[in-house]
Amino acid sequence: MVGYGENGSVIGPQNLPTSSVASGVWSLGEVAEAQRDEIWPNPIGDWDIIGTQIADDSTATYDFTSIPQNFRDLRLVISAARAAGASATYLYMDIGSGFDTTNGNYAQTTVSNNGAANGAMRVSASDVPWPSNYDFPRDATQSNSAIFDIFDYSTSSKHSNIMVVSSASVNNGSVYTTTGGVQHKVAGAIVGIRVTKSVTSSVYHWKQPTTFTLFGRGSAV
Amino acid sequence: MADWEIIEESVITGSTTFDISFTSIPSTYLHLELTASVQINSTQTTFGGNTMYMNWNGDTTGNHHGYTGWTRSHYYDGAPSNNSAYSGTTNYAEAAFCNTTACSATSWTNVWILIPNYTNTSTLKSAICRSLQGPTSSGTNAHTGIVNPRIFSGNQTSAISQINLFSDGSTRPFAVNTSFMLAGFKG
Repeated sequence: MVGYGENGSVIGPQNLPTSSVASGVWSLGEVAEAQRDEIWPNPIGDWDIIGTQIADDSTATYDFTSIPQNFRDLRLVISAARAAGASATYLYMDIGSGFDTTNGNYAQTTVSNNGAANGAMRVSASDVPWPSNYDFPRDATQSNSAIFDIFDYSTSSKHSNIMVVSSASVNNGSVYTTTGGVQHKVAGAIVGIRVTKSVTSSVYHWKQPTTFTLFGRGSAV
Repeated sequence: MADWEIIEESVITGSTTFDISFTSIPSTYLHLELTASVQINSTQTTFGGNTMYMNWNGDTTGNHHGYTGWTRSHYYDGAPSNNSAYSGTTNYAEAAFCNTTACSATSWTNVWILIPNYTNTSTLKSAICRSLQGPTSSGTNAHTGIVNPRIFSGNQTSAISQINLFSDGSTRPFAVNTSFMLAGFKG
């Protein structure tokens, strides 16, 4: 990784920040670099971006690996989501031994509504990592969004418990909204999250301008 | 720049904590957000577990709290059920149904609560809550969750400077490692 430069005066030692203090004189570029490297003493509270990935039209799976263990909460936002074909979005967790892709190790329960159909809400519960009654995203012509919240993710004695709110739309103006959750039935601190499709062949690849952004907030318990 | 700031974080380390209080909440924010990872130390094994309640400013006046919510779980299969709807009749509001130690030691409930405009003294206060229970090892349909959004009607115009969260009964404390975070949004 290329650094911006070195701080400090020409005759003094280089300054180094800690998690609580950054002494000396800093240029904006040096501050940005330190923030990027998570070594700047920012006041905690805002959502820090852990990583962002942008769909390239030819990939079904995007991984966030080496997730820092110093935050309390994680938030994954999938924005402007589009896929070549409608299919379910799967979330797989890595709790230290690689991504667990055994669907039976997950469970989901959700409640959804389709804006084109009045009446009872649609419910779903099954042992798969699929947080929706409906396909998400629906198709390649609409932009959909989803937010996934995971609290206290770095405590090894807790199951991953992922709250979900999502919205998906289709060409006729219908909107599919979902609230619910996904659970990983194996306890462990989350070190990786995989976002993929139930079917990964090319007709279901994520399309541009889909973005996947993982945020962290707070201090690890 | 608009931003969330953490006001307080806490984790339960003892086995006799029944009441979590966030006191002297600064009035300098626009909104409050509270997240929690909760388990209640209880012998209750029925899925749905025990309840975490909430009130504000220590107000236990009987007609100052209303709440409603619905539940959906795999265990109780079928349509979402309306539950716990009260209007101005209780001295607390249900915040979430929580996992218990008896169901599964490793299953915890995620709770998210948003309290907008908490310092505005001309409007009644309200909050919205979402929660999700962790999987349980008991029951025919193990490993299920509950979707349990709730809306509170605080029936009070006072600025909120204190939030109390408490478990449901003198024999059911919060479990060790239950954690909370309170944040404020600066516009």
